[in-house]
Amino acid sequence: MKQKNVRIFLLMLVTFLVYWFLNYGVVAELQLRRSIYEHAQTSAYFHNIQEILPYRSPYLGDASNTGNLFYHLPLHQYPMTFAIEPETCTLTVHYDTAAETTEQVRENLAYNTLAAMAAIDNLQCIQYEFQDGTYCITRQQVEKRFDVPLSALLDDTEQWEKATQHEIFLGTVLAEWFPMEIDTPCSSDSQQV
Amino acid sequence: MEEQTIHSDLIRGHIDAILLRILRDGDHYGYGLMKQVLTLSDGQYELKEPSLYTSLKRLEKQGSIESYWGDESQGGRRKYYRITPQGRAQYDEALAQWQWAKEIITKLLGGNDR
Amino acid sequence: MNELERHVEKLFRHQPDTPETQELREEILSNLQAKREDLLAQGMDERAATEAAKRDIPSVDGLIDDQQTTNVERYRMACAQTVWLHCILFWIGTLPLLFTGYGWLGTVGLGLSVLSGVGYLLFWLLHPVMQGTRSLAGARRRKSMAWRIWGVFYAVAALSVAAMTFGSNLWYGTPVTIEGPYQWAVMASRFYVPLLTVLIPLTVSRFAALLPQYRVEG
Repeated sequence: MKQKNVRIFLLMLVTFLVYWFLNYGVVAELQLRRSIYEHAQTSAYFHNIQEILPYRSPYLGDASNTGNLFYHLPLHQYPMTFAIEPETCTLTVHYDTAAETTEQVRENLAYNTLAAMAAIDNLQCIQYEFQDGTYCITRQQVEKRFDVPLSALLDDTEQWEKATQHEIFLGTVLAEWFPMEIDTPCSSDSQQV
Repeated sequence: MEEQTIHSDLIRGHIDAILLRILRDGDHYGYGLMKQVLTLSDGQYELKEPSLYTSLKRLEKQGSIESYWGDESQGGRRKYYRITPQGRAQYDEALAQWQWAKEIITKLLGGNDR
Repeated sequence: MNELERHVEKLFRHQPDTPETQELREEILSNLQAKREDLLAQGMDERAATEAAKRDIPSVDGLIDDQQTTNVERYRMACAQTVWLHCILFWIGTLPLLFTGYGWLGTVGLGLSVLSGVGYLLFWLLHPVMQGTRSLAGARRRKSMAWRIWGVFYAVAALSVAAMTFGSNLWYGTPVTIEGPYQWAVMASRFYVPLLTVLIPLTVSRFAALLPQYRVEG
């Protein structure tokens, strides 16, 4: 009896050690990696474009698809609401934050715009509403930058990375697409740019 | 066999005493006891194993019989039983009781009139 | 001879292995053999003689004294030790789940193991000397009931999980697709978690198996 008790106690001890190691070692490590990854996804420079590939669509109509799309892009950490105007194929994304205080907001917007227009073929115009102002960007403006149709950009994710996720690209389009004054809402004028 | 079944019910209460009677004349093992019962009843009553074992167990617990193992050359060892002085006394008592009961019941059932 | 041995084996299959049942086993076998020999000597053929002998004793119900004088205190300690051990085994069983959404079961396992260990220790310290009778058949009944209940429980649990997981596939006629090892793991864990409860009937079984070991002679 006594020997068996000792053995059972040792078993309990070993189990405890394994449990501790797994729970506070391995699991914590995995959680840390996951949170690092998730944090990276909030920046245009480190975003994994594969996350939005399931949400490619030829049409703008599906509101839930659009929501999912933007939920997997940078800036998703702020509360968002969407409005779709089917006539003009305009998407309005309202971010519940002030653009001024948001880090890298213009780079992220540039990236998001390119991603959204590449993913949704008939998306013509996006209006970004912030607490302190509104931006507007049209498909024509974006297409001017590329020789190929926007959707083709998503066919090769390595290419996407090389072409878009760096300072040179994002830095240059910023000035053009999202000028410093943030009060240029979409109107019939801006659509003719 | 209808007849046998009726008899069995009547005899069942006396199996202990019957076994004691057989052991009084000599030691036996289980199957030997069963054979003796068949012989003594002229083939009219067959004691079944379950009743035999139950009875033997009871008698041994009461101290009326003792058991011992014999060595057999083939097959399993046999358990033999022998009667004890208490067993002999129990048998005498049981026989007297039966004879008294037999007398009274015969009278009550009107057996003497036939 | 062998056929009779097998018959006796079958009669005693569910009986505990005590000196008493061992003796009865030998006695019954020798008597059946004697009967068979006798019938053969009377001219019966082997087959009929064996069958006749077997027919005479179809079961041993009622022949075996079920009540066992037990050293209840030590029996209970053995049971408490079993509960402790099984709690630890349960805990070990929850370790693979730490990577899934069922990781909290690992904490449950820890708690149960510590509690049952402490309970066992307390028993050890406060042991009152106790003797009593326990029914062997009662313990066996509880064991088979525990297994039956658990069998029904797991069948229901597994079916519910299957319905939840594959129900919409069955309903709409779409094929089942499992993309990647992570999904496999999630699906497997849903069937595995209710399976851990098998330790309950195992514990009750062990209680029944332990009882004959704590009989008091005389």
